[in-house]
Amino acid sequence: MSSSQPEAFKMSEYIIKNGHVFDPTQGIKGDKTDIAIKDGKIVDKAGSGAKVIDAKGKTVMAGALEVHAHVAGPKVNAGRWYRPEDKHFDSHKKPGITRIEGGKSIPTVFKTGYEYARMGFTFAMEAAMPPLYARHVHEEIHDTPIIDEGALPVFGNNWFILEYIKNEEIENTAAYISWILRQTKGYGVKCVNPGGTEAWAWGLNCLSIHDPVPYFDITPAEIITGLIKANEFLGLPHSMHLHQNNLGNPGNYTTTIDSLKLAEGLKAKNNFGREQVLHSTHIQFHSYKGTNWGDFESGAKEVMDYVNKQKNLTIDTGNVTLDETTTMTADGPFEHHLHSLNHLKWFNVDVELETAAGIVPFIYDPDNAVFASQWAVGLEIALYAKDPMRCFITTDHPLPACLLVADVQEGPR
Amino acid sequence: MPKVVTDIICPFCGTLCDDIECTVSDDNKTILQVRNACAIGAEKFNHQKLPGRVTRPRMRQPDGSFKEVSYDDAIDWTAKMLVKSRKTLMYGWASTSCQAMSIGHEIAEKVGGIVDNCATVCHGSSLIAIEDVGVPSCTLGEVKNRADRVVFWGCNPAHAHPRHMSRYSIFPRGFFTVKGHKGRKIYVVDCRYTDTAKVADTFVQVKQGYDYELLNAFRTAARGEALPDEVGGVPKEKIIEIVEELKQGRFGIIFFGMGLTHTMGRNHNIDIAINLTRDMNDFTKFNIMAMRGHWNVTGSGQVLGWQYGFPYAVDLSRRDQARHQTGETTSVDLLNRNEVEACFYIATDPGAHFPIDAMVSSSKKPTVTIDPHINCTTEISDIHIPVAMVGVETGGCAYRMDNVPIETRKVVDAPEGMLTDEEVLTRINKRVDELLAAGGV
Repeated sequence: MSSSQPEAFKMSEYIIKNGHVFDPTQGIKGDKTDIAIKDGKIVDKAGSGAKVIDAKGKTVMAGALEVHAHVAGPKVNAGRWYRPEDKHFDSHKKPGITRIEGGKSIPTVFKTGYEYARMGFTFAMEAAMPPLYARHVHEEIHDTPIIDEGALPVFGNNWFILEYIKNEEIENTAAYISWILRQTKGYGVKCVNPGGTEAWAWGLNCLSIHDPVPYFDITPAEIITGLIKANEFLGLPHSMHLHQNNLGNPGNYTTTIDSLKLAEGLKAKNNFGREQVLHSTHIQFHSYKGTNWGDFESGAKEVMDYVNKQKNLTIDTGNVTLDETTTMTADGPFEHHLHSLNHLKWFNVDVELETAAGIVPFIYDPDNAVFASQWAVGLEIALYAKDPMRCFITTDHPLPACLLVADVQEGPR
Repeated sequence: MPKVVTDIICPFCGTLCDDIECTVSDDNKTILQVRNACAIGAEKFNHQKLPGRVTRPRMRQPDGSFKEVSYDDAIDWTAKMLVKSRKTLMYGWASTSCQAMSIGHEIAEKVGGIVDNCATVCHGSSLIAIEDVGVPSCTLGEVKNRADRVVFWGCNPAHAHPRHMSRYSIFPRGFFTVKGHKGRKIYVVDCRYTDTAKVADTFVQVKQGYDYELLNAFRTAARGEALPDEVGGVPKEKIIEIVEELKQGRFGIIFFGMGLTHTMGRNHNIDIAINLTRDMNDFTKFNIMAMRGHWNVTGSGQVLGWQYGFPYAVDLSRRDQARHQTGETTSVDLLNRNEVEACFYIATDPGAHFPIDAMVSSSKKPTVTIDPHINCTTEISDIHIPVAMVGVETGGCAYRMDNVPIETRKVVDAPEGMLTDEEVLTRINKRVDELLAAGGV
């Protein structure tokens, strides 16, 4: 459906006038300047026939990128169809748009594309693609309008990977990853709750990085290290993308720092100028102190102090917005745990060889002290970050919060 | 020399067996032999060479007979019917590809159609239950590799999904199930002693209509609460014994079918079966799965899901909003209440499966049927547009009962000049655009 757009774009010339332009790569910070576009590329000058876009009072910047979201695939879609009530909140067709939009916390593909575009995003990365379900992910990407999407296949609980890493066969691990990336049209190495999700196939979990994975006789620490090494062996453009063990539990900041320490001494090897070897995702959920929800407190400072010191790490925040959402992750045991907290409808899909996804609707009530603290921890993470180039803002849409309802009215940012 | 085509996906039931082999004639026109498929699956392939197959659209004449017309004429008539009707039932989709569905939905949005699939008379009640309470489930490979407790409740795969038992649920040896059949305990709960019951370790004969009560008793026993002496014709001791055995398993799975979805209680039966599964997860690993019947009905639910957020009975007649309400936007109810102005059937045969009143209502409306073969529905249609068989004469994506997407294969050429579902729908879509641009019919 978007196939006609690039062609039309190619044929035209545009000039964006009067906007405040931001371009960190060139050190342009809000200067009022014009941008000319010809044949889809930014040029010095546009011809007299160029279409003028008045951006007065607006920010002009490169399209925003969503580095970690759940926008396409089996669990996203299960979240859509098993929540008919989600469509009652916000479902309509907006003027000038060709397809019906549906859903609030977990929107349909049409709405996903339109809403991201309205907020100034041009790309979203689907953060967990089960290899067996890759075709489904791509069918949804195909039907998503305007924005580009990619997907990261999951590897942290794959039987072949566990076997290769146990035998310390990094080259074989890398060869297998390479084959999966090609077969599933994936963009990088994702690892969700290493070992824990495999344990979940027996109803168990790995809460620390030294818990043994049932049968496979390997620990999450070995899986993380092995995947980083294989990623660097291949020299992939992205670093290994990790959703850590023990997500969302009070006291988990020690697990988090333990996992991050595994990257110490590992060097990035690639032709893309990438320095980090490990990306730790939605770290807000992994930065809690205390022993239970009663004495729960923030561990953001401890975690970020460590991140700031280690140059070979990047993180994304995983902010909570205080709202109703549909939580979903390839961390099956976590969703079961969440279900036991709120007793709302629980969806679980165990997939052979790799991964188990869970889905639970959740209300992050602003009047609840825990949720309000989680909201604050997310802000702290970003505020403690010393190097903004190593810290990405995400909401892990739609896990802790629906990015797509975040003040759409504000227009492009 | 005839050649052998391997790794073909069977286009019959929700099991989507992916190991079919066909011997194909030299000219790529005829399937000479089918291997590995069950009796029903093999017959599906053999339909390809049925004598007297219709290869061109047929239009009903005033005297009731059919006359051959061109694809162009049939497509023009269909597009005009769709544009003219304010509310069209667009039912079926289960035997076509997801790509074709996607185009069909685009048409429905433009003309104000109601898109429904055969879940509406099948696992719709399961989908309602899942909308209410969620579902812990898994892929069939997980069952093959891990399950040591397998329960078939109100389903009879020996007849309906003939290779399900050998590929996934009873006989195969998997990674953690090296003993195959001997390592699994098989339970069949049914009101009749079925052929599936013959291979079970334990057969439980539930009194007809007492499934909800018996499932409730299973939950009660799992929680260690008191039971009456007998529930649904099953003695208390037997219930407790089975539940204890299930708890001792490492990985349990419940498969259920029409015996639960279409007996008294319907979605509530599924609801409590899911809740039993949730409870069992407090003791061991347990999952539950619907035995989806009609080939790609699961795929129809998926495509509707990502485009509109509902798995079936999606009413697009308002054109600016998708609605889904069982009893209101479901096919049989719409027909019984005479609420639609035209019927568009594709890749499913409602004439053979809908209640007679619904089809009587349907027969009085302008009707188009797109299907490779003559069936009960084509006989009450104004136009029958024959198409290539998906999974035999053309490829396309289909979803297995566990939602795993599989790209199907083309095995032989369709009869010369025949179009595919995708091609017919694309042309209808284009014609609808032209008509709408010209201000309608």
